[in-house]
Amino acid sequence: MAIINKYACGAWLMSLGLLTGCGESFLAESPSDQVTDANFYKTVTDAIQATNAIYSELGKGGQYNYALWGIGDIASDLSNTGGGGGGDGIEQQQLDNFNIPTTNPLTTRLWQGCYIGIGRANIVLQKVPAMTIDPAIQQRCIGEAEFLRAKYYFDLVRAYGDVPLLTTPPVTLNDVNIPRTAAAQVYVQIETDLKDAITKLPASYSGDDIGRATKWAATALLAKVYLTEGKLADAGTQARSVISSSGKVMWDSYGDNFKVGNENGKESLFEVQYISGRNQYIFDGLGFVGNEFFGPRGQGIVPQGGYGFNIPEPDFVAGYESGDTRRDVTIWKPGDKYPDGREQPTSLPGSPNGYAVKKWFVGKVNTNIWDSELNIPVLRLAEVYLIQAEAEGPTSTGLEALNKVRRRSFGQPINTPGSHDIAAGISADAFKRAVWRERKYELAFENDRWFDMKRTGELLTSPQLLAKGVKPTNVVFPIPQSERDVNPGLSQNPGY
Amino acid sequence: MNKHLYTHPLLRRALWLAAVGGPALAVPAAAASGTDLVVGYDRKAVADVPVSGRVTQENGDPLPGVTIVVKGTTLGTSTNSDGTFVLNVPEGSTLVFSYVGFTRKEVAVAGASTGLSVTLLEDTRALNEVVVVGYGTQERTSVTGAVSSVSSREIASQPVADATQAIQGRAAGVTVTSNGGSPGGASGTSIRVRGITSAGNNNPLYVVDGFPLPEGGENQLNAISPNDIESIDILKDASATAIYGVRAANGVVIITTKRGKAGVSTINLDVYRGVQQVWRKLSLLNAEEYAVINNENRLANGDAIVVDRLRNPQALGEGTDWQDEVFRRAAIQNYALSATGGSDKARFAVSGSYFQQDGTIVGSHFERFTLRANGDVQVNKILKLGNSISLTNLNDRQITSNSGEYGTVQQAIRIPAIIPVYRPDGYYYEPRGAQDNFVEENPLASAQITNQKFVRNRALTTFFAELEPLKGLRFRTNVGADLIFDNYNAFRPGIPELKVGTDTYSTRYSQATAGGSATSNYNTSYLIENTATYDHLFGGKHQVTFLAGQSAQVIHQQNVEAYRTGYLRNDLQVINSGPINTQLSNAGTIAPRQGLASYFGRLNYEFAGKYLFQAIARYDGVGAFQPGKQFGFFPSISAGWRISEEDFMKDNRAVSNLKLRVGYGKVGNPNNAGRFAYLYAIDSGIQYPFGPNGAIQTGAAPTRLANDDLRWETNNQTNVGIDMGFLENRFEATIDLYNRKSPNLIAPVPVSYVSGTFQDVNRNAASAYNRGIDFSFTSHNVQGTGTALSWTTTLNMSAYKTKLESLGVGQPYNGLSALSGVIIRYDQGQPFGSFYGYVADGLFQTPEDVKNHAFQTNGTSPGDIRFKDLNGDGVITAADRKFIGNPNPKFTYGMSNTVTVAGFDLNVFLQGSQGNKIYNQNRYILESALYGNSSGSTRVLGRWTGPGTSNDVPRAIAGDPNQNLRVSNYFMEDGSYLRIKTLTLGYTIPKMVMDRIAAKQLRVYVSAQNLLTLTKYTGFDPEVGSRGVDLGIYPQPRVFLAGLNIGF
Repeated sequence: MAIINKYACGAWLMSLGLLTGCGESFLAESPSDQVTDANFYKTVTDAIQATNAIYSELGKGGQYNYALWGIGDIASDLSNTGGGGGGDGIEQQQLDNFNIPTTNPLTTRLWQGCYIGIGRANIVLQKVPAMTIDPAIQQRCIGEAEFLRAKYYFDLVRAYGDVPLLTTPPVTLNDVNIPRTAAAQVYVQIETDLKDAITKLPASYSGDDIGRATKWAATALLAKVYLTEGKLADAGTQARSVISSSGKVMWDSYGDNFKVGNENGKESLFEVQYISGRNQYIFDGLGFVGNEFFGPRGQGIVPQGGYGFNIPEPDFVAGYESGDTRRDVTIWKPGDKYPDGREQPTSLPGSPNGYAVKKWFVGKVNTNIWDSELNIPVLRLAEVYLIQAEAEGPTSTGLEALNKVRRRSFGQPINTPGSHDIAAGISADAFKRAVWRERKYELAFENDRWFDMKRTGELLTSPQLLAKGVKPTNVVFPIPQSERDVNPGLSQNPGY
Repeated sequence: MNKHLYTHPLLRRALWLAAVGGPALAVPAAAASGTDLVVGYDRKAVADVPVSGRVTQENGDPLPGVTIVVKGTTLGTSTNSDGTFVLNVPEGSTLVFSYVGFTRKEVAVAGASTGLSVTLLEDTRALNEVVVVGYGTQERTSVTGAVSSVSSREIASQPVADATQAIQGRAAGVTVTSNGGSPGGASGTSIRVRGITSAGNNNPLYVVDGFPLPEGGENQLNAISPNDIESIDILKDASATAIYGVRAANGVVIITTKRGKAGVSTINLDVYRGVQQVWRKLSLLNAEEYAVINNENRLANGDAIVVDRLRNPQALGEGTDWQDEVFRRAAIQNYALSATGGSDKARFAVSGSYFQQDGTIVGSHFERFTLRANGDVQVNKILKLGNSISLTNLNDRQITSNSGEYGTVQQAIRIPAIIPVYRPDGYYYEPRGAQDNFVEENPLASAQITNQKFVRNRALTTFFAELEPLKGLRFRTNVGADLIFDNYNAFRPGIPELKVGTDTYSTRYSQATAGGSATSNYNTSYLIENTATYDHLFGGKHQVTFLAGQSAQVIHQQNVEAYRTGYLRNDLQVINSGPINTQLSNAGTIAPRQGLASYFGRLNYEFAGKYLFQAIARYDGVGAFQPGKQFGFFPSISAGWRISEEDFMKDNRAVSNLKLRVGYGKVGNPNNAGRFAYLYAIDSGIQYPFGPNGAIQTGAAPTRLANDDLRWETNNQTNVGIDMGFLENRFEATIDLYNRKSPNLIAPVPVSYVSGTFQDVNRNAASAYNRGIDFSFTSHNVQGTGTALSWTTTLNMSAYKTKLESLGVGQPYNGLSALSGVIIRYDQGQPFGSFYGYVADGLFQTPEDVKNHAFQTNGTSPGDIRFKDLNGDGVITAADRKFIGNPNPKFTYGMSNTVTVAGFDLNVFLQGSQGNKIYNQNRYILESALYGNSSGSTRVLGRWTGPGTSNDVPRAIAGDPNQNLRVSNYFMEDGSYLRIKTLTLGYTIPKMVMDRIAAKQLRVYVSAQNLLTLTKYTGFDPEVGSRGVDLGIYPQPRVFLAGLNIGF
């Protein structure tokens, strides 16, 4: 028996020994399939990747792929929701009719997208300065992060008023759940970031870096920020700097701005970069959804037939001056020829007057891919001229800046006086209104109109918007309910 | 042994104990043994006398393997294959004959005797049943925890692919909810042992023949043929489950497969075939009705009618009945063949089965092949070897129905009847915006066009060696592997555009987008376990069982997937047939190995068969957590008092069994913690295209904050139970009361986007409790043997209350969202999974009603839903939402009645749920007809059309300006139901007939499943999954089948 016991225990121990074969790392596990902060933020590549991540939010639903066309176009006097004309696009209708719940997906996504971008910029601005890498890339990454952080905060402060201002990555939840900072203080941060970015960013890029923020993108954005703050002299200075030194010039033809072949072209200061065919049916892909969403509904000139959203309002269409070439670049109207020879009908579901947005039309000539690769301009030189004009008033240079933009729109040479020039002697107030009107038509459907209307006060005086029910409280959007749920210290804007 | 094996000091000590524990215990036993294995046996001066005889069953067949013990000693033997035995016993002894499944019998022997004839009667009562408790078995009478058992008979009686579905209504305290009626149980079945305590994973641990399965979702057991299952034992309270430690918080479901019995050779063939159909269709708008409603909603909103044929609704007639197109009569069949048998030395059970089930929705199909070989070999007196090997191949042709929203069911109820099924050339018609007002997919096309094939091959295998050097001392080593190989292939062909005159039938399935994908998953798990058990009766009254053991398990998971589009032809559907261009993608990962290291012990002490005591301790290490925070200790303690064995009760004829049980324990659940939560994961999948050619560049950033304090969830549970038997156990009842406390539940705490991240952070923020009662009752109403009438009723009920007591640092957060917004929300003071929304209060009838009520929206008009202004601020905002309903039932129940007479057997099994609410999200679709271009339910025909016309169904108005579709109790319904789950009538051919055809047994039966459902719920089926939100679930089929089992 004793022998058997020895065997028994021996066998048992031996099987235990099998376990020991697994070695001392039996429970020691490390993530073999993912990168963590323990092995990142070390090389030049890491710095560039961390910076690229800030850009990626530009192309998504929180910015140009969803939130900004809903807010910038539909919530303004440019367009109506459109769509199927039924229950389609309830969230756009909420903006269209100024009946905006705190859960509206567009206003929620704008907040989310901006803060994701800001968070990533904060990480770059914390980690990259401490890295020992090529100083040129290091400076550039810091400049890009500052530029993008300013861009996102600029959108936030205009859309929501006071917003939480965070400039370093949070360590604990207490660092995240902070109250709103006064808008003026946010503008101070935006200016600081842009001024520093101007000193760090290169004037241009080549090859696969084209599309990154340049010194002139930062300068132009600073001009727009100053204009928004009412610092007209500073706005003028920055605008003139861009016009004189950036090397950028306007295309001879307005429509050249919106062609795939001309992307990041001679008029462009900063664009959202899109490519097509990587994702289908999402707002957060690498391609733009507008080709499909704005395509005349069900007409089959875009891959899935066209959803017919963002329908130009009749007042807006009627407002084009005769001979303005921008109209046929910007919109479809009844009778317009499609690439396949058919014509735009006199009415469509959701578009009783037969209008649709054409500016971002790519069609399906070479592709059946749902999304489109056409970039969306964030800042282009024409706008900088209009900033200069507004900043300077009806001075000779101010008039010339405005008239350059107008001449092009009528197909006239940009630098010689034209038949549609605004003449000298116009009152300051009438001139200002002329610039605003020009912005409306020059920058139509470039996601800017609501912000302009808010800035100029037209938001609350526009007869179209009053008819839709705009209220004084609509100069800002609601703080997203989901954010207030997690951070109860976040106060809501009045009226929401 | 390698001393540096583990760094943790406690673990090292535990390992040492485990290693030396076996021999330390063995030594005194060995010292006392010699010729006599009995320790402490008080030997009298009596002579041993030889006794021999034969043990038979009631029908005269010999009964091999019967244990024969001299009462009060461990002297004993067992019967041979012919049922005979020989034993030397002290004069004047009493022999105890026992065998699993048979009534124990005591026979007094005065002196030497031969030819002793003993007949053991089959025991159908639960009392003497053996319960599998993890790393061993116990007799039901000795169990101190809460354990429910379901027998093979109850499992095999239902035509289900997944044995977990057969538990439904069979075990008190175990709530089983089907997540859908996909064939093969592929949609999964939720098992909730004693309620839910977590917003995350609530799945129990499944242990199959000693192998704890890695957590793998809710359709794990559909790889096992229900015919192979001997028993399912469910460990419910912590005093029972603590032996599985960190993985045991949600209960443990132990599946034991059939093994061979010595001397009893059988060959069994089970066959059934049947048809299935959805038991309910909804009343939907026909083409004419659709046009009326659609025109009305457009005109109400000032929109034009743009589709010409809608202008004259009468001309449209009935149109397409999409439910008839999508649902079908479907076949189900099962063939299971098994052979079991063996001798004292070697026993076997081999089986094979084929199960096939078509779905009641077109395009879904499931089939499964299984093979099993279980063997046991007694190598010599002390060594036993055995194995369980099972191989499964299952093929599942899937549809998108269970993705919920936009799945086939919701597509079928939203598509207008004005739309044809096929276009002129026979391809699926695709709705076109301009012609049809509607652009969603044709449900038939979406169900069928993409050929989605899922194939799983699974080998689940365990081998064991058991050494019993001394009577009562056993060393056991168990090794096992669970190998899962999944393949998922899908191909979506292209459809040509059709031009008929000027009419173009465009397609969303253009050839250029034809795409194929292939995914391969490789998930394996390996296990090694060593246990030592010592079992001994000291002094005739002190029964001691001690178990000590170690377990180590590793889990590996990896996958690769590929995808291409732009296939030029539709017949070659493999990846390689697709073009190499930019339209391809590939992915794959090898997840880091997951390890579990465990040490455990269990001590059972039983005094005089009256006082029971059990202590369990498990020390578990889980590799998912931060080094230094990987190990946890999970103890439990429980006691029982068999009052009926006390002298003062022994003679009580009315009360035949009375046992009180009390237990407390602590267990864990690591599944909701994820892995590596203590690190900042950098997401390198962020992309942005730069440069003139749009070169995609990689972006990298964390998308979630790290949390280095995260630990597994713990669960502290108290259980008090009472087992009762009356009138010789003619009536039996068990009642258990429990209190489960979960002090550190993991809540996915959403963070503000201000953090720059968007993923929820898991934190041990919440605490919750579940309190409940399990009740089961069996009554042998009429007890007849043979062909006489016998009638048995069993009833079980479960009721619990669950409450999220506190969220700690967390904030109330949202769970499931659907098209209409957030539906489920977690907040303190609320039951888990509660619905959250507005409170609907009838319809506005007049403009004055609207004016006098709080402001809702600019578009609010008479005929819209009035929502309650809960905070009284005069405006309806998100702040006017509240908790509107609880998806957890007040109680669930099952009742089975079995009547046998003259060879016939009838079983009626009722099962139901009471007091649970369902959020009927399908009605969002069904009533969208009022607001847009979808079709829907005929309920909308009763819409409001003027003051007093309806206070229930809102007006038709395109765009839903009042947001009538918002989440509110308007869409919530009572989910209670009572269902005849199965009704089976069988007939067993008399033995005299059987003898002629050389078969031992032949039974034919007909059966119906889901024959009748009584419910107020208006959807397809009240079983909508454990969340209680109906997102277009694949409805349960009603099944009629006929079957045959024949034994040789």
